[in-house]
Amino acid sequence: MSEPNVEHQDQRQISPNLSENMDYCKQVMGNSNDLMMRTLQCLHKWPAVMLYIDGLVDVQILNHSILESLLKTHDLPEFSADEEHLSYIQNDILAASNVILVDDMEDVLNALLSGSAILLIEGCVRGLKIAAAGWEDRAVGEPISQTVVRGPMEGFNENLRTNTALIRKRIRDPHLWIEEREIGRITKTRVAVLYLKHTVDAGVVEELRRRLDEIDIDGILESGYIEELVQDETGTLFPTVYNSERPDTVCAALLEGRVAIIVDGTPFVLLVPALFVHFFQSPEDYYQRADISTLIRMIRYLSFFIALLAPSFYIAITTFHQEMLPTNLLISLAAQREGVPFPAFIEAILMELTYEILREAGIRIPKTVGQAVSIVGTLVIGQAAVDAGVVSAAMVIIVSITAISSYVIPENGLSISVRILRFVLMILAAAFGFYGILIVLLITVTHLCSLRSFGVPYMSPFAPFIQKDLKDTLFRVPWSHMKTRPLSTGTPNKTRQASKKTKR
Amino acid sequence: MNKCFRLILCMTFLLPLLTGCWDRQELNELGIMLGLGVDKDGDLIKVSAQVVVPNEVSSKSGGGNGTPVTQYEASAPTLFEAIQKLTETSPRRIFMAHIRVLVFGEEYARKEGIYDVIEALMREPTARPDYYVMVARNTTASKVLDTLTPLENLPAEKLFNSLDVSAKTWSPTTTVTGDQLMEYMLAPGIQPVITGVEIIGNSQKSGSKENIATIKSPARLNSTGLSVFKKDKLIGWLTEDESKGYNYIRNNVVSTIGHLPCRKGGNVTFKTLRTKTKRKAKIIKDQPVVHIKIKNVSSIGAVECGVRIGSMKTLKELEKDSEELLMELMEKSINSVRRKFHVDIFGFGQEVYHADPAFFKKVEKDWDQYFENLDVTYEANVQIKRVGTLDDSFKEDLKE
Repeated sequence: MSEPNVEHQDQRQISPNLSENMDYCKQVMGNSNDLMMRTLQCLHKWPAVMLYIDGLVDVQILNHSILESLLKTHDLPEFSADEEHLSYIQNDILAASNVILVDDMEDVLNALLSGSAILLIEGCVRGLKIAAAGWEDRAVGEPISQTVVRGPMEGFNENLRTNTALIRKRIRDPHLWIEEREIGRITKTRVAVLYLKHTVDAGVVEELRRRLDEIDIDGILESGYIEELVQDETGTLFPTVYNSERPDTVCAALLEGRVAIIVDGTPFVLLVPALFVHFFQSPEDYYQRADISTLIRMIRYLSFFIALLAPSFYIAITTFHQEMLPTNLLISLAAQREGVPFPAFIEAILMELTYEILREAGIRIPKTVGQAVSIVGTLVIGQAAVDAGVVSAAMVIIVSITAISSYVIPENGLSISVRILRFVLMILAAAFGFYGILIVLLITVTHLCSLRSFGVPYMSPFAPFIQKDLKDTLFRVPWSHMKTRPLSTGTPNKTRQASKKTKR
Repeated sequence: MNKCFRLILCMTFLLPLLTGCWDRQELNELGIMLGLGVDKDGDLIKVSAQVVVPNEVSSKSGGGNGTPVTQYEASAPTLFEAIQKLTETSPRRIFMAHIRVLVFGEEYARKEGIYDVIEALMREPTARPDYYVMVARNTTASKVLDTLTPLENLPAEKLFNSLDVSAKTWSPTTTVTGDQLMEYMLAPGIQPVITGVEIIGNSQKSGSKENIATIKSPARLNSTGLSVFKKDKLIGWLTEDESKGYNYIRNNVVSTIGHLPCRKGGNVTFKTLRTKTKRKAKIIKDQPVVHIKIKNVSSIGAVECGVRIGSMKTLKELEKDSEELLMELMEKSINSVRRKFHVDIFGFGQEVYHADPAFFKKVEKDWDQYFENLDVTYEANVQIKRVGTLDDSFKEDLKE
């Protein structure tokens, strides 16, 4: 807040004197040289200046439709009122899709910085804001974080408008409402809230609006900021906001009566309310046959538990409950552990940490070196560690299956919580055995049941139990049986299909 | 508030460290005991523990340098003292949860009685009572456990598996686990029976690798006949036929193979596919009567005599003969037990108890007397379902 005049301009009106305005702009923007000022004789009659920021404006549009039309000679009618020529230019001359009158300098600057061109005319206290925004964007490409074998291969990009268009393309219904606002005192990031008016729970939208309006932050650079600022509870390991970079996932959520939040500048769109079961749903579940989807979904739940519990179970069984293993397995495990100098817990922590380090390195390492790291990772750490007798082979198996299982969960947010919980479980398993594991699990379940996402119980439809909603949780029933929308999201529009059965 | 919260947080993080992980024992700090042998050593109990040497078992580290198991022995007045005393020689704590076989020396079982050991083991929370109990016939438990075996390289595992397999496929043997044994010892109207195990051949070097270096092992472990107990003391052994009869009566037979002498000489071999025995008691005129009904489904394994098994009549005859044979087997078994041992190992008392608890309560004290004179009736039903891939035997078509 050292320079309050930068963050909060005074309500300065546009001056009739052009050079005064130009000087003001230069002064406010500190002579930045991407601020372009093109002085011209508007319609060969009025001295004017065209202000725009280089790089934010599509020069093609500026040259061909705006400047060209302004520099032509026209037979001008008589202007009686003071600024009638301004509205004449706005309505009759400018060949641009969106031309609006602006009053004060703050609007001028905001418009400039969001990519509009501003036309100021000598002697007028109002200017024209001409939409000419156009900058380089990444093309709509394949979503990287959530790929499918079967299904659309489009993903969102960083442009909010492209993203809303991708959704509009899929839901051609006037009930799809888009509310837009700017958040961030400095970045003034555009944030759009999307919902289907007749299926959404009005309370959720109202609550979301309230939370978004409460945000007072200097900048929003990614939807993660919004996610943390609007979630119900910060003190939880579990994600209560879903994110996706797939338009089809977002559309499906909208159709179920959820709300999407698109943040300009990121392909990750937020969805609220997000329940525990949503993190196990992959878009592909709905494109494949119901039977295989159900099977795969059960495997996902299984791997969730493997990712969560495998190392801690191994520790608990080998150090506390050896009697639980079949004799032959026990002997074979004991044989592997012969000569390993560490207790099982240290061994497990060692391997898990190694894996986490490899994983973190893998994200950051340049692609060209990646090969080398994976060789070092697999050969040195896996093979050599076992051969050297530092860790047992069984431990390597456990860590691998854990690591692989954690990637089965379709949304990354939940696998992060699993990773953290896994370490807690390992410590407690090393200290108390199954007793410790049970304690952590009990606390976790209680905590999960107490969580809410925008007022919706996080564990629904399991707790509270909603039988009708089970159709899309552990199972994915065939589409012909999905008659209703999920009731847990509180949608007022429950019917998804006419309940009449068509005969074939 | 915040300070208090921080304090609690600190303490929760430190708590797991303070516990010192009680009861924690790493796998490589355990001596996994697979076989437990109990012998008499003067007034003391001599315990022989067969403990796995994991390094020798694992396929990775090669092994092959020593024996897969080692045996520790100690003598003390009580079982647990002796087991604890093993650590005098053993570098690791003896882990009791995976006992596979419990072997009693014959002398110990005859003179001391098995009660003390069973009581101690059943009371011990870490010991799982699913081990098989055996009696070392004519030898000591220590010697039985001190025998290396081929195929299964852990001798205790070999004993367990071979008893398990033979109980399912060969009628003279049966299995009894620790908890079953206790049940037999406590339940009224039945006395325990335990399978015996003996060493065949030269047991001089049974515990060295030489024993498994030759195709035919010099010393072999063999499960043999059943030992009869009175209360907790061994009083004698059943012959193979008596054991068969016992297992048929107790419904222990799963499948087996037996032969029937033909009327014209030679034998017909039967494969029992399934068999089921029901014992039912009735009190008639203040006298208990036990009815044994056996239903047996068999197929023909081999025909050594010239009967035409293609005809229904012969099959009926064979069925009838084998019914008689079964009844005779059971009757002989009961009679010889009555004559030699005077104890009800068949559990007829239990049947009487089920039929008329009040009556049994009256006679419970001298039930063995009643058992001597018990009226037993037999009923057998044998069905031959299959005759194999041949029809009539081709004995008569053999060329001169």
